[in-house]
Amino acid sequence: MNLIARTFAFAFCVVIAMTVGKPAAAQGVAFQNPNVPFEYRKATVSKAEPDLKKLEDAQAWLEERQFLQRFAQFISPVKFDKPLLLKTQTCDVVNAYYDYKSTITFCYEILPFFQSAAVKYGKPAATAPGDITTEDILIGGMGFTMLHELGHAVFDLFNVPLFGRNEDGADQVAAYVALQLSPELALKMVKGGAVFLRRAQEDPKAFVDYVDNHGSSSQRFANIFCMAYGFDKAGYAFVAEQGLVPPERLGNCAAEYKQAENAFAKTLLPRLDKTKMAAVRAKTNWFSRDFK
Amino acid sequence: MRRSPCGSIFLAFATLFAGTLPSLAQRSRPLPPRVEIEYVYEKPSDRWLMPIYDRLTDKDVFAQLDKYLSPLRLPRKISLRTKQCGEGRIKQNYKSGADLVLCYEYMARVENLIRESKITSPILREAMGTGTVAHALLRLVALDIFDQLQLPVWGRAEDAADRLASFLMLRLGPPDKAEEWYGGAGVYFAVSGKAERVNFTELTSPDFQRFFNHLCFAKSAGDDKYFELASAWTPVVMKPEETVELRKFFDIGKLPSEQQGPALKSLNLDQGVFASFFFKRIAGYCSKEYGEVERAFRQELLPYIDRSVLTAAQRSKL
Repeated sequence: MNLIARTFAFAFCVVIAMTVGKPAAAQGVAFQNPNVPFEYRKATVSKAEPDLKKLEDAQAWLEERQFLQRFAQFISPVKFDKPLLLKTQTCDVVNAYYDYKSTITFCYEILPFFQSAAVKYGKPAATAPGDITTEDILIGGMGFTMLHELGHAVFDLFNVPLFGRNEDGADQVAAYVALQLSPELALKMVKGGAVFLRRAQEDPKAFVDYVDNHGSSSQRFANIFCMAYGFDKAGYAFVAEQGLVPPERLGNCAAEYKQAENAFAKTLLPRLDKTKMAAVRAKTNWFSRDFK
Repeated sequence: MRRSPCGSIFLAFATLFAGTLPSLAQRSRPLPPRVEIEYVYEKPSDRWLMPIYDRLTDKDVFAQLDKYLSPLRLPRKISLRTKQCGEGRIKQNYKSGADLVLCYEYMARVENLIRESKITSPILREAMGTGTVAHALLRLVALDIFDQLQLPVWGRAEDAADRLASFLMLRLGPPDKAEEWYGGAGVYFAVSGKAERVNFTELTSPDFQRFFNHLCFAKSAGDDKYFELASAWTPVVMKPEETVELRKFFDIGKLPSEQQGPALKSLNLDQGVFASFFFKRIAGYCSKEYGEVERAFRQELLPYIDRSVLTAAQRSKL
């Protein structure tokens, strides 16, 4: 695969794994990103999470870990023509979104969701390749979410041609970038991204449910794992072994991965600063595992 | 005499891309030479599929499609094949470099579902058959276009092909037929979706999902023909009271924009279909979705179209 894409993508996702780590000041000037301002808004009462304390804790948790600063540093290679604002706030829904006005919002309500899902569905440690840990769900899920929203942002800000559905494309950006990481981190991101979507009970049942412009939970889950399997059959053998993607689709997974690789190379790679990419790539201690 | 739903596609194909009007402004760089479509009608081994084979060969559908695609300049030929796919399959997945396959079983399914549907209008049944097969062929070609030109495709390729096929049909199709075909294909997706056993992990999206993607484009294209056809698909999949409300919604779409807001207030937007995501997508996101494909088409595909062979109607839509 393209070395530049791989290099950039590595850096991209390492910053996404932004739960903790060194303060931004210690990261040096190489990752300064004046075109990506950030803002932590004060947590307020939410219709989705009536316990204000949980949201205030989420705000403190994110601020303490410099969640937005780190993401801004991480995407410093991206040559935005105008500022992309990153912000956290209460939204009244469990969500993160890009608003098509150059702002990515990470809602406080989503952090308790991930924390609770991590405890509910994750294992403390993996004992088999396909096991999902609490860390996979928390870091992987949050990271995948931010990459997904970044996908929407770059599609919009760079006028990327979109023959396919925007939402699926944003998932592909997230999965593709995740897969360029070190094998361990890629696995974490992919598992986290896919598993937090695995809510088959949310798949459409009635006719009107099919109207959503997002793929169904099961579709998105299979799309992500199929790309991963197409990228590295051996590393993601559990995808086939556990039947996470239907056998008749497995043969197409390499093509699905190549499709994303081609699209990335043609639409996003030209928008990256290669010197900054190298700087981000050279820094390997973005990531830490301090879960609280 | 009953006409085959697949029959009139051939006549309509002939007019879709063909044109002899003077060329537009000269291109800044030369286009590759035109490569004709290569095609084969493979004889089915099962007798029950022979009538479909006979109709296709009688009308020589691919020869018509060859004219239909004449403005397109691709690096390789397009190889099409109709065949019996067997083993209960109605489609073959796209494979780079291999023939584009339209299964006789798929065409048989289309005809069966139309027959079994409660739709009685001969015009609509005709549009369903013709439009669905035309859309399926354009969809195969779209997949080949992506591959041959190595276009950047974000999103599932099968959905992207649906979207490009829809766009080509609406924007380059014959003015007197395209909207009817488009609506007919939409009704087919609704009918098929109802009969389908859904597996969300498959490569291709369920037909109900494709239906809404299709509907999205139709609403954005603003085709009156589509609104006429809307009354046909709603009873197939919706409750009577929802059908009434939805019909009102479509009718509002035909009003001048300044009258639409007040008219929408008369609808009960807290119930049924409107309580779902439907309203938000159809009334809000769809125009953006259509715009995405239009932009992708202009950026990536228009440079490979020889405008000198477009009809005046086609040029006016581009």
